[in-house]
Amino acid sequence: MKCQKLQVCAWRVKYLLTVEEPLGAHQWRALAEEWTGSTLEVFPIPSVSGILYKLTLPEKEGILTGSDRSTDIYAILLRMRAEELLPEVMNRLQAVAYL
Amino acid sequence: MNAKALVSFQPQVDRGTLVLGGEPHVVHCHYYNHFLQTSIEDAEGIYPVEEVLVWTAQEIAHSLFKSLFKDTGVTDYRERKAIVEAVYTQCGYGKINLADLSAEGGEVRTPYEHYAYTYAATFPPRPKGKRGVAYFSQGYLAGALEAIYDLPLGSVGSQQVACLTQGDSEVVWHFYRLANPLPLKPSIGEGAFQTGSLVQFPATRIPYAQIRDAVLSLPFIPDSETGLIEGFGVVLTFTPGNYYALISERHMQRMIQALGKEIEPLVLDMLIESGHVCAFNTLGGIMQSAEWDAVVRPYIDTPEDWLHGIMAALPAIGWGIVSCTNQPSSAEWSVCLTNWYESTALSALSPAQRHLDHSPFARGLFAGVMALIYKARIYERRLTFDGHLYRELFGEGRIYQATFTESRLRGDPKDSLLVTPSRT
Repeated sequence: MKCQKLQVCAWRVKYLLTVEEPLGAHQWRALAEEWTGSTLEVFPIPSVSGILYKLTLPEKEGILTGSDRSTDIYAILLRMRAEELLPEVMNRLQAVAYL
Repeated sequence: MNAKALVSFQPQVDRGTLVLGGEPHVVHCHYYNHFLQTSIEDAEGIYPVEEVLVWTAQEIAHSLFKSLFKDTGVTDYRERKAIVEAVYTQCGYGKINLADLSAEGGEVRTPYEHYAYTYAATFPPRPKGKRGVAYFSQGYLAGALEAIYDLPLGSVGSQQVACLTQGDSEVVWHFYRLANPLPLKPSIGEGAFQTGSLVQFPATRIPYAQIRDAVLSLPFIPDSETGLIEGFGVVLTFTPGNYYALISERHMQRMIQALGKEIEPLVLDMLIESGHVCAFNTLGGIMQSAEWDAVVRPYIDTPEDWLHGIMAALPAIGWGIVSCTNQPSSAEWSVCLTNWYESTALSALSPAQRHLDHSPFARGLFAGVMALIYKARIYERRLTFDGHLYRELFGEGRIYQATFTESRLRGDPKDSLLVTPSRT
């Protein structure tokens, strides 16, 4: 999985994580179910027939956003915990990527 | 009464605006907010900058809430306070509780205010003794207080007495009745607005209208605890566009009054730079987001499509309607701006009341977008937005320049902007 830091912004760091295939609804759901305390929101965008996914991590330590259109997932993590959280985010994404 | 339910933006697609309480609101990020405010604040030794930063917000909030209370028929003070609290959060300014305010004034304190919170998280601490950064909220709440109690505009004074940027745990403002009212003017509201339609440019698959509608449907929801809006990796606000336009104009006027006409190019350059910073952070952040990937990326075939995609999104963030007048290239981009918010606000002033003869924000913004596409090549590589990249790209000056070939503020019927490489 590729990872690039995009922006350090206020209290967040934004990373780009690239998976091999766009994650579907079942993979996002699995991610949320496995990650105790996280919350998944699903936003259909009718005008372009797309779906946005937003997973809020426990204790609001970060947000993962992605869409059904792209292999790119954005991890926007709490700056003071970003380096610790990033490997966990990547591992968990890796685990659902092949479901 | 459900205050939250009464508070919603009305998108006016034929104007490219988001209206609430008769005020067009625009989406901006904390980088732009701080850059513009700090640039003005730097003049504090030259003129009293609170008269621009605080008073302008007070004028706008007074008109906004008077209009909102009239439209909703709410007369009860407690319900009016609930509406102000809901609007404040809905717009991403933070969280407030107005319970302790009366018609005589009082105190408001919060740990969550957009300018203070994002400043403290982003920038080095301010020198001890420097006043707080929550100018906008200070004026906004003073104007809101006047509207809640049906007081005349300018009858409430205000002061920020604590700030997160000074190591305080909360932002605190004091409000009090004034014996002599401040010389404030009601807001210009929707200004000299124009109507138009989003023109689908033929040489692209980017579906302008669908993208605008998609961005309008995106969930910019304030955090339930902080009332701050995180989106695209930055912190966003919905702020009355008149605020940005008027503080820019008034700052220019005050600087010329104080220092003479020679200062004009310097002030203008700072206002242009604020647009450039906005392109880099806000629009750059949008172009590298899940929202962009879902809504725009599937239609992108060429570098120019990045320009079309961002233009299609602008009406949905309240900036007006932007149309290409020819196919853009790295050598030239020509656009027509309909109801561009800065022009619309300033056009509502008489020529004698204004100095700016075009929108400097637009000049910086469109030049910055061109640089993102053709210099930074955002279409073929992901960018890491930081000071290093900004210096690498623009260390020797802006790569593109934008000029208004037609300007409503000069009496032309429309705004037309031409972006070309800067002369070296």
